[in-house]
Amino acid sequence: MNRRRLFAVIRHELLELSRSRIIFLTMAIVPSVLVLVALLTEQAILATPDAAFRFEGAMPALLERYWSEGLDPKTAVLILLNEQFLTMLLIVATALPSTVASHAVIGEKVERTLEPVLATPVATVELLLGKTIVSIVPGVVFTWISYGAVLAGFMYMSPEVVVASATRPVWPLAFALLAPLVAVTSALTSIAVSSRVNDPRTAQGLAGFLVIPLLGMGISALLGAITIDVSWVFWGVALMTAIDAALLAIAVRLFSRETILTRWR
Amino acid sequence: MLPIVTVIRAEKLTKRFGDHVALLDLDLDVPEGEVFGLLGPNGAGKTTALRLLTGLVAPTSGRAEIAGANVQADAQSVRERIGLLTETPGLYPRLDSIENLTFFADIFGVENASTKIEGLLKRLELWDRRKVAAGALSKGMRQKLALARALLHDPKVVFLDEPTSALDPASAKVVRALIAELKTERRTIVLCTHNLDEADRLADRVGVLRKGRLVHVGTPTELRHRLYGRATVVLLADDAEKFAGAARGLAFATEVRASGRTLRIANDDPDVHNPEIVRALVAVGANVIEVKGETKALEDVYLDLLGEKDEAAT
Repeated sequence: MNRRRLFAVIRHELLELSRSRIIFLTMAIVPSVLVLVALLTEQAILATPDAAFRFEGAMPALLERYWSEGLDPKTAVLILLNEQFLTMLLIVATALPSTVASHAVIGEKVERTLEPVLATPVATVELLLGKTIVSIVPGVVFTWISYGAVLAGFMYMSPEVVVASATRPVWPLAFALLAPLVAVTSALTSIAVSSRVNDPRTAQGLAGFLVIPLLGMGISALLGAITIDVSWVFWGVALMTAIDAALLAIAVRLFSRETILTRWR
Repeated sequence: MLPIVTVIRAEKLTKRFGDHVALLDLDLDVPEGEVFGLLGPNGAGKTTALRLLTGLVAPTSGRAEIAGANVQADAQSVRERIGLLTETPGLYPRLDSIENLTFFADIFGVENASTKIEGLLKRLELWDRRKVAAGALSKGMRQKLALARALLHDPKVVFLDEPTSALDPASAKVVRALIAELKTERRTIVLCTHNLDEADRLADRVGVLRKGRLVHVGTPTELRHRLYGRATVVLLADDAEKFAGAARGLAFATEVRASGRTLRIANDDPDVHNPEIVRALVAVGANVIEVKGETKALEDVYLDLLGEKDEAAT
């Protein structure tokens, strides 16, 4: 792999992306709404009298874990909901890059800009890796900003124990390491699929399936079936790195220059 | 005299898409510094030939080499040496001229890229519009910008697919002048075109493709001669029919036709036989106004070539 050519592709894709404001706006909507809902919910709960959280009879199963940690019911509800929002934010990080990635190949097909590029010495792996890296940038950055905004909101209005729960190492690590890697998986899947199809929606749809295992993991964690801790994050990072490397190899194999040039009109 | 070095070589190059034969058994040698015109109607296989020669698509059979490098096995090194102007400009519409060219300069690792870009944009009269998004440029300007992109890294071999197709006459002249300049720099150029006048003016040799087969290769003059033979055309002051008999008496005249005041005498070498033709006609009282070798437009040659093949096929 030639680093000069890879950086040329990255610079170019960033420039192209900076000219597509509509993509930024589309991508900003979901995390922004999520942050807003998280903070409004937080405020609504904080404004609710403690008496409303006195459970008659048995403690709801979802809250038992927090109850056993000695938290009062209201705080337990706050932390439970916050963890749900943070899990949702991580899932959003996986979905956003597919928008950019599918357009990165199909957009070039539509505008007929691929043939001149394919006639240059740029290798397929350089082209696809460059596109992938740039595809994840907005999604990951929006997710980080959203996480930062949620934390800032919590710090402003929530009790210290709630802030501590949202900043325990598992979350920053998951956002810093796992989110970009899962985003790469999503982007690579979109790119691999979009080099074989002509409709960005098909590529995005297929990449959307990737969210299902993550969603399953998130729901399992929320139901208390598994406890996501730092070791989970590191195992996740190792697994996603391996998956991303395999996906890159598959995407390179699927990217047939000839098919793109001769069968796509 | 410089030795002749073959830069582009194709051997039995064939491309099939399912049952459709896009190109069949293309054999071609293009020496260094030659402008080779590839002519043919739409669907004749010109773009496929170009894509095969540039390694963009793989042949079904046969092989191609650029400067000794196999276009499939050494695709990367071949791509470093060639410049390709594609059928459609394929520019990034939201980026301006400089941004479009800078991307390709970065990929090729062009040194002093900004100077090089400025020079090309000025040469192609695009400098004043350098900050305009490519999508907002006129069709002709986009075509010139795509040509600049193809030449940015100083390729020794240049493939041009319809370089003047979208251009107004003034812009086309600029582009043709640039191609002529490239020729003086001993660059090897394959020029796919529908513009036969352009091929006639620029190409050292032309190849005519028809239904995926290269049906004729030669200089434009050779093609004319191969199809029509050579002939002397004599314009007389009187009715030509009166003097046709004298012309028919000439041993070297293979065919004599009179039409109005014009006499067409087919012969193997007008340069040698014209004085004798004039003497023979004057001797029988003809008043000769003008004598010239017959020149057919390449367009007529091309159309007749394709027509001839169509007739043979039916």
